[in-house]
Amino acid sequence: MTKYALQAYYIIAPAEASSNLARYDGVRFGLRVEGNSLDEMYELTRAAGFGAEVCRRVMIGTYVLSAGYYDAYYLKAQRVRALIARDFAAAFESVDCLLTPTAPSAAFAIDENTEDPIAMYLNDLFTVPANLAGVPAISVPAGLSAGGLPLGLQITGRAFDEETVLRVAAVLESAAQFRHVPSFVAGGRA
Amino acid sequence: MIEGRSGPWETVIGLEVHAQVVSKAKLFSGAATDFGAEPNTQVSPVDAAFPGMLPVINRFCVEQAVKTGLGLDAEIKLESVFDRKNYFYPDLPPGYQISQYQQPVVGHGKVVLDMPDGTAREIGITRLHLEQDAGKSLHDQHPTQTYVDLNRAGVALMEIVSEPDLRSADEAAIYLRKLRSILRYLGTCDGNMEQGSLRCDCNVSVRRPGEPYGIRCEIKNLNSVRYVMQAIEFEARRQIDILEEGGTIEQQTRLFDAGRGITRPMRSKEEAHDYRYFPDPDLLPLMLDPEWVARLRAELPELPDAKKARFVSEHGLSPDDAAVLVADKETALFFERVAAGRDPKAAANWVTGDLFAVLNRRGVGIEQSPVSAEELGGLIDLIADGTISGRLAKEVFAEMVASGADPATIVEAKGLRQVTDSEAIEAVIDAVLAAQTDKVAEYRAGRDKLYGFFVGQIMRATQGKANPALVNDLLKKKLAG
Repeated sequence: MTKYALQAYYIIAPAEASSNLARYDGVRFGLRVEGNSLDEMYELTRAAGFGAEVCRRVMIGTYVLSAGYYDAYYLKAQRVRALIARDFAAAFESVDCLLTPTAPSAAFAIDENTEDPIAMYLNDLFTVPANLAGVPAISVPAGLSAGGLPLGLQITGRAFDEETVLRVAAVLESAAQFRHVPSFVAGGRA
Repeated sequence: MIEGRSGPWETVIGLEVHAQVVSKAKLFSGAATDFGAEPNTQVSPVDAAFPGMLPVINRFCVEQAVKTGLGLDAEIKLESVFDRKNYFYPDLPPGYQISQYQQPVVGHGKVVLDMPDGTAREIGITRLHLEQDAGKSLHDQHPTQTYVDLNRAGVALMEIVSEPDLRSADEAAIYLRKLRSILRYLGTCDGNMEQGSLRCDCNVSVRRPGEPYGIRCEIKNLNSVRYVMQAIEFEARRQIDILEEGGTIEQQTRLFDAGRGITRPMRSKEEAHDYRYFPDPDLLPLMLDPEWVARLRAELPELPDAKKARFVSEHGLSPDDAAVLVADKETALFFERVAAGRDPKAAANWVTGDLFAVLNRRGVGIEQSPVSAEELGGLIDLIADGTISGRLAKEVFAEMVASGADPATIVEAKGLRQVTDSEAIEAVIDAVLAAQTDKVAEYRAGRDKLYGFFVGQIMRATQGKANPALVNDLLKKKLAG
């Protein structure tokens, strides 16, 4: 079921975010943009204070929790989540940890994917399953791409078995001998 | 039944009662819950929804909810879930209320009503769930701004939902009073409607007898039994008038205008909130240990129904007297202290008669009674051992109320001790009869009614202190002469 992890994650995480971010309504915290009514103050404050990606997630989250859509989206995603957790538990009956790339490609440039959020979300393909399953994972820098950008390896372990995850990561890290430093940092050091 | 122009209508009512839990700390934070504190002095970062703050459940509040469930003879759910009810309002800092939606901690139960005709009527409880109270918006502190007091934000509430089993405003009032009595016996809610610790939403619909339920309207946030009754009566009549004119009822949330005694629309079904309930990701499901629940059940205090049955069977009281005595927990305790080792019927008569009269006159509860249970018991002892007559006891009681002194002291100080010396009484009788020779002759000629006159004369001569039984005995002998 891990192939559905990304889809499930981008339903559950925005749902929680839409609720978690409700406190930034201009009444108690931070920015307030005055309006002619309470509702207008809420709308102006939140429109001004949240960036495009946050607004997008609040909208998605509110949608998937709405009456009439809850069962089709949020509830189904939670069921997928339970199945993913079960898949991981089954896998850990025969292995101690899982080794995967951290991301499907090297890092993209700032502002490169803002027009296509799905492409941006796809970068989380390997990292979100652990979040959904509630298991620990770590990313270790392991080498460089053809373009000279760093690539990571991810180690995922059993629930509450951070120890194994950290020990495997330490072995990988010392074996990889990753010493590269970005030129602007290296230059700044001189 | 309400008589309309076109025949009788039946009112169908279900109540949602919000009962504030008696607890030192809030449902998910350690802040205090005292009523009437300075605004915003009992607020933790959790209650004010500071970023990063997480809720931690208060075990005692769960205990109070489970006890209440047990007191309502309800099913206790060993697994329940806390959900977020999302809506924006300035007195709700997180933008959601933590509540229980699909899996409440308490399921089906019941409340038994003592009806005026002496019968018992069972009202179903649909569920009881735990939730947070909101803060308070103060609209009267500033001409254009609203102030927010978060002292109440996060205080534990029990929402107790009844089945649509109630059929009149009177029944709703009896239900509310009975529920409040049970909560007070359990010590889980103080039931103080004026302070808002008990609030009520009413669902009201009407139908022709025997037909399916009609469309209902919900009347929000009623804070007295009287308002509940007025709101139901107005709302039922409003709906009947619409239906009899061929109209249809629109499902609505309405508000009660206490000043005008009417209900008016707050929002319609189309404007209804979508609360986007979902399980609170910050809280795990609530799992109860069956042994812990069993222990709470075993420790449950005697509740009004059981106490009433015991007062009837053990003390020989009438069901009516018993019902009056058990309605309020403090009254029941007071009565039991008066009755301890004494004639329970005499104790019941004094408490429900003379004492209640004094309390009503002063407008106070039994906690502020000017006469303690021990003092009232002492008075009954003085009657039982013949020290004073029942008639003089009324006088002693009035003096106890006025001065706060104990009955024995009053009897001694006022010389009210009953005369039980038969020679002394005989002498008085002789004197009275000697002074009324013509009346004695009339009596002996058949005017039986004069007997009371002689008793009155004798009592006057002894300032009411003669033992009535002795007076009777001796007087009859003398008159038979």
